[in-house]
This record gives sequence, C-alpha cells and structure tokens, in this order.
Amino acid sequence: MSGTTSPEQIFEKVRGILVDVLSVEAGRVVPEARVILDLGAESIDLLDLRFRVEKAFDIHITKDDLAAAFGQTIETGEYLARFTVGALCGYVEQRLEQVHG
Amino acid sequence: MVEPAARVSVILGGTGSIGAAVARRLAGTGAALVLVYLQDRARAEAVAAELRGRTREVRLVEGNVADAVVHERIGRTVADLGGHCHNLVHSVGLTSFKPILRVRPNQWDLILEVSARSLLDAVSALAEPLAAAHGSVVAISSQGASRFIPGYGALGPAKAALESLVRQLACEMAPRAVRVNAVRAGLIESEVLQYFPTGMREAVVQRTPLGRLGTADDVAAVVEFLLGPAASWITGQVLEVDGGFSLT
Repeated sequence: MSGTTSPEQIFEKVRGILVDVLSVEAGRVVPEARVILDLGAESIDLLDLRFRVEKAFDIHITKDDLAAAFGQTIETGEYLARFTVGALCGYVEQRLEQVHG
Repeated sequence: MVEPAARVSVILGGTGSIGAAVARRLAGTGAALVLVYLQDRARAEAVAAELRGRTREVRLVEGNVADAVVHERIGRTVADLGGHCHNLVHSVGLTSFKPILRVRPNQWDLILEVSARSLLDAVSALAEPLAAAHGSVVAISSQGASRFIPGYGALGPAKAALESLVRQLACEMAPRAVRVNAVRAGLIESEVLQYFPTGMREAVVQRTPLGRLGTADDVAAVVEFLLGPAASWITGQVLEVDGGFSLT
C-alpha cells in the first residue's frame, strides 16, 4: 500500500469491507452512516472490521489508537455518534500518512 | 539466544484468565514463556511484569491468532529461545453472545478461525520445535462443545471442532512423540461472566455437584498435569474439569 492512496480509493475499500462484514447493501454505506447505530455493527464485527482494514491497508491498529481517534465515552453516546464511515476513512487516511508518508 | 535445553512454553491467550493462570504455574518450573495476546497491551505488560520475577524469560507476541503472520512471529520467537517448544497451550475463544440463528456468516467464520483453526495453525507452525522437544499440547475447550448453552453463539460449534481437531492432531503427532489433549472447562469465575445471560451463574452453581464455579487455577492445575510427565501416556483426550456439572 503506497502513501498515494486517494480518499476515494480508501472509501471504496472500506465500503467493500463494511458490506462483507455487516451484510449490508453498498448503498447504505455512505460517509455519514454511523457504523454501529445505522449499520448495526456488533462488538465482534468491530474486531473483524479492524482485522480486515489492517490487512487491506497494511497498517497496524491498536486498541489505544482507536480509543484516541474516536473517544472512549461510550456511556454518553459520543463514540457511537462519532464512529461514522467517513470518520473511519479519515482515520485510515491519517494512519497511511503516518506509516507510509 | 539461550541454551537449547531450556524449556519453552507458548500460551495462546496467555494473558486471559486461564492462560495467565497456566503461565503462573509454568513460571514456577523456570520455563521461558511466550504469551500471545490479541490487543490489550497494558494487561499483557502487567501479566509479564508479574511473571518476570518468577521465571527466566517472558516474551509477548501481540496479534490475531487467526492470522498467519502471528504464527510466523511466534515461530521466530521460539527459534530465538533455542528452537524447542515443550508446551503449547491454546486458551483462545471468541464469540458474539446471541442465539446461533442470529450469527452472521462473517461472525461464524471469525469465531471458528480464532477459536478452533488457530490451534491447527499453531501446531503446524510449531511442528518441528514441538517434535524436537517431544512436546505437549493442551487446548481449552468448554461445555458448549457438547451441550446447549443459551446465547453462546457459534462458540459451542467452534469448541466441538477444537476437540475433534485435538483427536486428529494427537494421532498425527504421536509418531513424533508429541501429545495433544484438551480440557473441557466448566464455567469459571472471570470477567467473561458479565456477558452470559442473567441468572446463569446461579443456575450453574445450583447444578454443580461441588457447589461452586471453578477458578482459573482449577483449570490451570489440570493443564499443568496434562503437559507434564505424569500424563506421558495420555493423548487425544478431553478431560472434563467442571465440578461435576456434566454429570447432572
């Protein structure tokens, strides 16, 4: 995976992964869709999603990275609202820049 | 590098309740420990710090045991420790707590890969170091392998596959003097209990002849036995460790 992956390419890959993992129609996977609240991801799906994103983009994602990116305030609902498809793509883009320059 | 004769134990799920309890027991034998964990680095570092005062070496390997890359890392670590693997413990399980009819295909695949196929991956990757040490393998199974547990998702079928795999591996590895067994553990006191249906803990205690849930060390003690020389003529077996629950 080179550092020149465009935001559009990242979105297409992430969308494909979400369609496979969550068995949702591609049309529902839009940037503003919330992965848990709108697309129905369960905790095991988030793990599956992480593994597949790591493979697809050749990056290593730690639990701490995710907590830092999306916040840990699950109780207040902040995390649920912030964890959108667009935010996930933005996170991948940021990690690719960090890793591959 | 350390001397080749040094005992090396690899524990998949080595920082979980049962895995860490096994590690504590094996630390007492002076074995070098390779603890494999999924993602909780802080917890893994805490377990390693506790054990480092009690044994000569503790190595941590992070990652998904369903990923071949992790097994390559484990193999390199074992090679660095002298190339022998005396003990391999598989204490890994993943599920989505819900009725089996609500388990989606990707969830089924991930649960089976992590909870069952990873034993095959580990034994394949460590076949030579295990044979070189005339090693022993123990997998942790659960009651769900042989009976219905409400809301257990796909973990019951995964554990059934794990037990079957133990028998296959036992026969195929026997000519190389490697033994493979399983412990079918009953419900133990651990953080995982919070995910089980309300009231299940009390119901299990009531049905258990010995009148209590198990502890991680209850299971670890049997794992230690199966790994050791006292079990040298036991292979391909699944030992119930459940306070008698399976009898009722």
